Parts: sequence; C-alpha cells; structure tokens
Amino acid sequence: MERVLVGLKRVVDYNVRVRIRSDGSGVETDGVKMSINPFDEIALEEALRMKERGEANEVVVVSIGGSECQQQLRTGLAMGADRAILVETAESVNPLTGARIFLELIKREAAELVLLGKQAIDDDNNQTGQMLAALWGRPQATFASRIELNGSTAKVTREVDVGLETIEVDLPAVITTDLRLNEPRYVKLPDIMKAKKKPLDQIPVADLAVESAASITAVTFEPPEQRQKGIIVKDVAELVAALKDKGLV
Amino acid sequence: MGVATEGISMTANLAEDKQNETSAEAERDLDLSPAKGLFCGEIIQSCFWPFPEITNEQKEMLGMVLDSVDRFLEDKQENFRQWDEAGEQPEEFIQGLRDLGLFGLIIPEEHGGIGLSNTGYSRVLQQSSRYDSSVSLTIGAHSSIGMKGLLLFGTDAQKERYLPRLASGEMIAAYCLTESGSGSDAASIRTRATRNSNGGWTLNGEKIWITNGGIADFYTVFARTDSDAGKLSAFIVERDSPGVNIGLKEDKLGIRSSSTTTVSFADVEIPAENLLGEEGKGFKIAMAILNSGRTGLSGGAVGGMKTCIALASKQAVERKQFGSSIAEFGLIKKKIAEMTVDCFAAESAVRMVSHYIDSGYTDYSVEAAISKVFASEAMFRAANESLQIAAGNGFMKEFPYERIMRDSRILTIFEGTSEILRLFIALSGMKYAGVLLQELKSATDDIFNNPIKGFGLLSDYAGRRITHLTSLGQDRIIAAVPEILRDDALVFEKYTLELARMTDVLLRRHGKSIIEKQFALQRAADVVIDLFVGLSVLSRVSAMTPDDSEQYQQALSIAHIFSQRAKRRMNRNLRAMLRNEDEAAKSLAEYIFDKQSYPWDVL
Ligand SMILES: Cc1cc2nc3c(=O)[nH]c(=O)nc-3n(C[C@H](O)[C@H](O)[C@H](O)COP(=O)(O)OP(=O)(O)OC[C@H]3O[C@@H](n4cnc5c(N)ncnc54)[C@H](O)[C@@H]3O)c2cc1C
Repeated sequence: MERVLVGLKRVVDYNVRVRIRSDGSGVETDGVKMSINPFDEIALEEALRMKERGEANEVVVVSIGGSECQQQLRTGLAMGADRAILVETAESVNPLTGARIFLELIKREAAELVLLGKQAIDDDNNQTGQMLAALWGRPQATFASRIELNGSTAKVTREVDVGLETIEVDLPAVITTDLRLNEPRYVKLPDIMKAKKKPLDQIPVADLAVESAASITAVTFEPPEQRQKGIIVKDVAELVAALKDKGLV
Repeated sequence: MGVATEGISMTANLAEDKQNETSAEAERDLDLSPAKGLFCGEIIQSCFWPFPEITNEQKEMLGMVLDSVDRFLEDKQENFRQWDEAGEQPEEFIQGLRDLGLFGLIIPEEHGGIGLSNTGYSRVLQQSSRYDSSVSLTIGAHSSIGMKGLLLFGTDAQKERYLPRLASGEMIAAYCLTESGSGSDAASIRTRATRNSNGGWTLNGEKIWITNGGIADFYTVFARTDSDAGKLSAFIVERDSPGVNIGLKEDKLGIRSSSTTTVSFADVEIPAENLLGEEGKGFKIAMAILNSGRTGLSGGAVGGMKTCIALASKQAVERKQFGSSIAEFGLIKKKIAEMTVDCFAAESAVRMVSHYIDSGYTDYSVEAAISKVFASEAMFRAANESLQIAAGNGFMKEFPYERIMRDSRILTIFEGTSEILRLFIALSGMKYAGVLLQELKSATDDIFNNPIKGFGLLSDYAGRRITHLTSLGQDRIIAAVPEILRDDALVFEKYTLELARMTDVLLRRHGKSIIEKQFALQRAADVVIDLFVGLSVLSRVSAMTPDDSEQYQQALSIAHIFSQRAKRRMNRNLRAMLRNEDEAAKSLAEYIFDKQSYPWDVL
C-alpha cells in the first residue's frame, strides 16, 4: 500500500478538567493543555506499525483547524509520520464538512487507507469516518480493536456490545479505531528535532473548494449540575425511607 | 560569546546576533550582575524587566518534550517507591531514560542531543522532579555537572569524541570533586595528577559521594597538578581506564535510588588530550560548571514544590476533623498559601537566572546562588509542611510525603551548602561594592581636579553611584511596574538603598575583616535574596495581562504577600546588623564546643 492518511484532531487534553467559558459560548481553551485526540493517536500508532511491517510506504497525518494545530501535527511527525497536511480554517468544522475535506485529500493523495479515531473526545460525534466512507463509496470498518492487512483486504475485529465481531473489507477503506487497538508510543526526544525538518503543508480550506455543510449552531454550553452531597444510611430500612422521602420509590 | 552559553543554548544565536549588531552598550549590559547591583543600591531595570519569555516555537517543542517525560514517568509511582526502598534504579529503567533521549537534553543537535536552552533544561528537570527526585538526579548529575565541563571548556576534538555517546546515554557522566578531606573547601583536594613519560598524566586519589558514580562511564575529575600546592586542573577519565575503581553504593537518607559511590584512581593513565580546559584552571572550571548547573537543581526543587502543593491541597480538602474539612482551618490555609507563594517565587527567580544564562550574561554566579538557596530551602519547607498537613498519613511509607521530605533534604547540602552559598553571595556583592567605593573615592577626588577625566575613568556602576550620591538619579523608581504593583515595588526600591547603605557601613567598620563577620554576611545575603527573588516576582506579575480572572487577581496577591513579608524580614535583618547578640551566641557556642555536651543536665 502506498499511502495511509491519518486524521489528528486537536482537542482539550483528556487529563484536563473541562470548564465552560463564563459567557456560555463554549469550552475554555485559553491556557488549557491541548493534545491529539486519544483515538486519533491510536490510529496513527496503527499506521506507523503498518509502515514498520512494510505494509505501507508512507504515513500522512492531517489536521483541520487553525495554525495552532501544527503542534499536534508536529507531535504526529515526531511519533514517526512522514508528512503532515494542515487544512487551515478559522471556522469550527462539523463531521460532514470534515468528511468532505478528507475526501478531497484522498483524491489529491491517492490514499488507499484512511485511519481515523472512532470519535473525538471533544464533541463525541462518532460520524466523520462513517460519512467519509459513504461519500467515498468505499467500505468502512468502525471501532477496530484489531486490524490485519492481507494484500487487497483488511480483516478488522470490532468491539460491539455483545463481544467481538470480525469483518473483512476491501481496500481502499476507512477504518476507525477503538481504545484497545494498541498503546501509542511516546515521542523520543531526538525525534522531536527530526520532526522539525519533515514537510508540513498548509492548505487554506478554500483551495479545496468543499461545500461547508449546513452547520449546527451551538446555543449555549452549561456545566453539568454539581453532584449533591450524599448521605450515609445505616440499613436497608433507612435507605427505603430516604428514597421514599425524596419521592423516588 | 561568553563561555557560559557555548553550545548549550537554543537562544545562543539570538544572543549572539544581538551582541554583534549592537554596540558596546549591549555588551556592557551582559557584563552586569543584577544582584551585585543591588549591593550598590541599584535595581538595573533592564535586567529584571520585561520578564523573560521563550518563543512560541520553543514552547511548542518544550511542550512535546514535557509530554514525553510525563508519559514515561506517570505510571511509575509504585516503582519509585520500591526503588527508593531497594536503593537502586534497575538497569531497564536507565535504558528507558536512554531510549527516551533524556541524556541528550543540553547536547547540541549536531552531536545527537536536542540542544535545549538552560531555560528549557531547567523546565524539564522540573517536570521529572514532580515524579521522583532520584530520576532527576540521574539525568541532572549527567547534564548539569557531569558533562557540562566538556560542553563549556572542551576542545572540538573532545566534543566530537564524547558528545554523541553522552547524548545517547551510551556513556553516562559524573562530576568528581569532593574528597573525604575536601567538601565545601573544594580548593583543598589532594587527588594528584602528575605528568608521565608518555606525555600524559598519571592520576591518584579518591573521590567520595559521587552521584552516578556506579553507572557512569565518563568522569570529569578535578586534581592537583604537579605539586602538592599546585593548582587544580580538570580531566576527562573513562571508566574502563585501568586503575579506576568504583566503590559500593552508599546507603542514604534520601534520593536513595540515585547512585552515589566513591570513585578512586590508582595510577590511572590519562592521555594528554584528556586535559579539560587549561592546565591550572581547574578551580575556575569546577565553579563555572556548578554555576551554570544550578538552574537544573533549582528547577527540580520547583517541580517538587508543585507536587507538594497538589498532594497537600487534595489531602486537606478530603480530610475531615471536627466535623469539617481541615481545609477550612486557618492554620492549614496558611501552610498552603505559603507553599504557593514560595513556589511562584522560586519559579520566577529560577526562570530569571536561566534567562541570564541563555542571553549570554557573563557574571551570573551570585544570581544562580540566590536561586539555588531560595529554591532548595523553599522546597524543604514545602515538603515539611505538606507532610504536616497529612500528619499521620504523611509519616507512613504508604504515602509519598515522607519520601519527598527525605529526598528534598539533600538540596541544601550538595552543589554548595546553604551556608557556603550565603557567604559567597554576600562577599561577592560586598567585594564588588567595596571596589566601587575605592573607585568612587579616587574618582570624586579627581573630579575636583579634572571632572571630565574623573568621570571617564569610572566604571558604569560607579558613574551611576555618583549620580545617586549626588541625589540626581531618578532611576531608583522602577518605571516598568504597573500602577497596581506600585506599593509593592516601593518595598524593593527602599530596601535596595538600605542594603547599599548597610554595605557601606559594614565595609567602613570592618574593612577586609568583613570576611569573618559571618552573622552579618548571612543577614546581608538574606536581604539580597529577598530583593532578587521579590523583583523577579514583580517582573513576572507585571508581564501578566491584567483582567478580572481569579488567576490574575491571585497572582497579584502573591506579589503582595511576598513583598510585604520580605519587607518585614529585610527590616529585621538590617536592624539586627547593628544591634544583635552575635557575640554572646558565638561565645556560647565556643563554651559548648569546649564541653562537647549539654552542661545543664538535671535529674
Ligand atoms: C548524596 C550526595 C551526592 C553528592 N554528589 C556529589 C557529586 O556528584 N560530585 C561531587 O563532587 N560531590 C558530591 N557530593 C558532595 C557534596 O557536594 C558535599 O557534601 C558538599 O559540598 C558539602 O561538603 P561536606 O559534606 O564535606 O561538608 P563540609 O564542607 O564539611 O561542611 C560541614 C558544615 O560546615 C559548613 N561550613 C563549611 N565551611 C564553612 C565556612 N567557611 N563557613 C561557615 N560554614 C561552613 C557547611 O555549610 C556544613 O554545614 C554529594 C554529596 C551527597 C550527600
């Protein structure tokens, strides 16, 4: 396989306790640690392993967003990706627009495999991969916990509610990754220096001439209600009484 | 470019450009020592303002480095506890450090490292110290002191030969100065290197308490050359040279898993090309290495404080006594607030000093010593107080507090004890001021004869000093400070003048014998520590964007708390210089030395 495309979305780091901006316009990102979406990092790790096994020649990482996304792309390059593409836009990108952008890049890059995280931990949409496969007219294998390439097909084990399902898809295809697929490597420090010299192309989103999907307007953001203080009950009788008291049983 | 930054700085080029493009003026600025300036009554604004910032590109890169460090260390808490108990880091872990690239932090890229600036390096050690001090020590003794001499003073051939292996960690480095008879008094070492018939040197002697001693392959060794009274020289010694012997690992109070051993030399032959720097310049080299390495240790202390704050604040909120969380109690709040002010202050001072080093300042030894004394003592206070908050839990091995406290105890001992560094800080400042006073005196005499020539002969400081003494100077007011910090800035403006006045008094009263007035020297050092650290805090808060966020408001509050407490401390110290019980205390100590026991025992 010549080329694998991997999506890397810039999100608030999973360790950060997310806060809502005081005006309710969104999540606070100022001075907050940003990272690669963890599922995307798993996708990149898988692509790098394919390359190391000789199953892929080139791994290209892609991010869509402002110039600050370069930081995540550089991390991807330091992990071992060969090239990076930043599709620059100041707008927030919904899954359908994202899928359309990826489709354009697939054409430009003649990619044979697209690896995406199953969802991003910011909006939890879980849509981009599926939409991309449909637009591209190629198979999709979502929630992968194991991927095995066999020439022109990929055998993918998926985590589903009742257990594991193994399917085989023809390539080119879109595969989205689940948590247990692999454990991403951490970046070695000398590779950070090497990554500086790897190509990072910036393409203004307008150059791709994709139609922006009718976007959803976020009306307001609110933090979840604070958990009420609990009480300790002595026994079942007291528990039942307490529940009755609150009108819950 | 001064030796101090050669090859170690990402910003070295910047500094160099700046230096080339500008005039003698910029060059003169790089020769200024802001802390010595304080002894002369001057706050050199351009040395403190604006607060140093690293470029976005450096931030991005440093962010990636810190991420890797976090990922590598964050799941090893249990291991650190076990290795502390066992007194050893397993080889696989050290291999992990090598694989990650942690031995190449300050080695230039062309030699296989990542060429971090002093600021970047200090920040990385801060991060590793959040997890475990012994880890920081293994990395730090290698970079801060073990191979720093090679970076600073090595020839191209020596660098070509060793740096790639040091960057990969194939060779780990150690710094060998201390001997059984020579600790603080480093100039008294007895290890000898004599010229041999092969044109090289033969080394004999024993070094003790060498960090990384047991795992190193590259030793920077200080020895007396030629005669017993001869000067010191520095050498590169490889572990597999015949005659190099490594002792057993020491059983220690803290930093237990870091390797500490003796390293002895029995007729070890050193080729001539392994002399490091010039023959006879060993003492200077030893001190230059320690000076430029201090931000590593101080950065580590800052990291440790951040861990203490996180642990103790969580513990305080969760622990309930008397029907409420202990976080509700004033005495617990006081501890957390003090730890936070200390941490912010130490962080500001350390950042300031590493900025001096990165910008090519040539004379930063006093500032480096100040940041080391302050950060290491603040770290120990934080460890002690966080243990006190956790109390019984804090005392148990199951929790990390006791290990943090044991580990932080070393910080005020090695790389210069707090006592030695305080004496160094005060004496360097006073000596500087004293020379200026002399210069000033002859210059003012001259003015009457030939004012133009008189002024022309003056050094920069003395010139400014004249202005000050003749009450013409307006530059005593820090103009760069925002209005909201004006009252706090006033404290430092006032006490800087007080320090200069006191320096004059002491020098006039004691002359050269000021060297023996250790009580006074300590007080002077404490005043200048408060001044330097406080100005760093003010500068940092000045650089913040004012808004009504709680984070900004609390930072203002930190500046205010530090300034006002520093004011009371400085006031006390200055007053005690004139009126004190020093002689009684000395006499009491002498009485006890004589008895070597407590004489008032009762039944
Ligand atoms: C764990 C550990 C690791 C170390 N690693 C290294 C290493 O890698 N390389 C290396 O070369 N060394 C190393 N050292 C040695 C360390 O630097 C010395 O311990 C330190 O310099 C102090 O020397 P000393 O212990 O001999 O104390 P001493 O010099 O004997 O001092 C004893 C006390 O007297 C005080 N004192 C001494 N002189 C004066 C004075 N003139 N006025 C007032 N007070 C004074 C001191 O402050 C101290 O309180 C290490 C030590 C330890 C414990």
